[in-house]
Amino acid sequence: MKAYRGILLALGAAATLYTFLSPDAQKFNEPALARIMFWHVPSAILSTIFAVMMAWFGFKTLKTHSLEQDTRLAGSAELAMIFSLITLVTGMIFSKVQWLAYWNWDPRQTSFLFVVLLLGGLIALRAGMRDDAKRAAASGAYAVANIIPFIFLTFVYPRMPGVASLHPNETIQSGLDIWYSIGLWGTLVVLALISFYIFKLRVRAGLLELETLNNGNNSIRGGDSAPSGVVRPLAVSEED
Amino acid sequence: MSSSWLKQATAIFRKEWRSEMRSKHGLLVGGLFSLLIAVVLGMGAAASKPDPKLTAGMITAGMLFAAATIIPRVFLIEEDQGTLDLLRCLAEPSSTFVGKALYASLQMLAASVVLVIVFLEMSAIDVVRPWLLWGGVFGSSLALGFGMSFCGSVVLGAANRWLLAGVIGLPLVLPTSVLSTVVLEGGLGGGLPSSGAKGMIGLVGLVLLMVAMGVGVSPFLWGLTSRRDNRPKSKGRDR
Repeated sequence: MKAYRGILLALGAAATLYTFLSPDAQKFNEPALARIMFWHVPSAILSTIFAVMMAWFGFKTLKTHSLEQDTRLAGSAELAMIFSLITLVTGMIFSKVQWLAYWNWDPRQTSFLFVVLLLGGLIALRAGMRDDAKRAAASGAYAVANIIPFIFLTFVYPRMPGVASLHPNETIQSGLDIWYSIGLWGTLVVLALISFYIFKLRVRAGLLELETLNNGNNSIRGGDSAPSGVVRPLAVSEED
Repeated sequence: MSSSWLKQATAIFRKEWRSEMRSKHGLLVGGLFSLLIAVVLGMGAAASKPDPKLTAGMITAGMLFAAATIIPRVFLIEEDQGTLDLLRCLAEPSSTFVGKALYASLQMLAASVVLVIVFLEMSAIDVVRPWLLWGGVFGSSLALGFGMSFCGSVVLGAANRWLLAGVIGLPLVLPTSVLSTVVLEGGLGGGLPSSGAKGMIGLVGLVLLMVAMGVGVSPFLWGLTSRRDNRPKSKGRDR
């Protein structure tokens, strides 16, 4: 595990160094700042992956009634939120330099803001529920329902007729030189490895917490309502 | 879908209708709230007549806030009164959801009609394609009714659930508001009639998705917290 962490650290350092060492891009107001796409685009892709995983774990939570799946749901929602925020903030910085305003009501920018609000809604919902079973059920249902607006906002809305975006469509597919192609996809792989490692750790910590709190009973259904060893029958009068 | 399922859904709808007719509290509050939104929007549009796109956006925003305020009540009131468990004993979760969401949609439709008529009259805005405008109002009300009802049912048991229903509901019904704006804009003479009609088809699709989502998820959602599910299977001894 230590070796794996060392490798991830080395890969992260290499990706960061590569970001700084790659040559400036052309046709940008601030060529040096075009490097922000090395982190902006992979974060957007990873937040989409984690949001889809969140919906999947929501479905599994509802289907299996397992708090383990709920822990996975929570982990993927938190990581989706982190990557969405990184996407939003890096996008705003780039927008200020390239399009002269932090906020342009660009359809992709706006749709990501709503993705952040959807994820924020899920986190708020989880924070508002104290009962483990209710929290798992409610957040599972909401995560599954989220997939409708999520797909709409990410894939449909920016491509709707009459909706014009400042984001160029062809840059990622064909507009990148070799330096930027390696940087972009390389950073995506490194970020994906690091984030899935964090996800694994988050899930493990959540499962340990569950085991400690529930005496190993991680099922929402079944079992006694009170764990044995805590509640005992108690005589209330001498006849009893 | 069995006939008993339909009977249950109809019974829940009738129960909502009858309890509403007794106090008329929900209709009164919903009507007043949408009137208030219409007046506030009308004041905003008084200085200069907004174009169809802006008008459609304003109406949609009003409908969204009306939905966030009016609809979650349909579920949350059951928990406040402590009658939700009783309701679950009498009907399937999915039929309960459909009955309640249908009633919520009707209430939303009434509120939307008040909002649209008052706002358009106050601002002297002409309706160019009435079928598209009223079709959009009808479709949006249904989609908002089912979407926000779903959120109302999700937040049951949460702290600050009235506020939370709005917080989780507004982003969830965002596709509805985008399509609603397109359809209403078409009804008010903006854009092409074909794009309005396409938006209308999209709204119908969204309504179907919302219904399917509610029907599909509600048995899992309420089944999980049902006390009945935790009981050991009876073998006839404890009669």
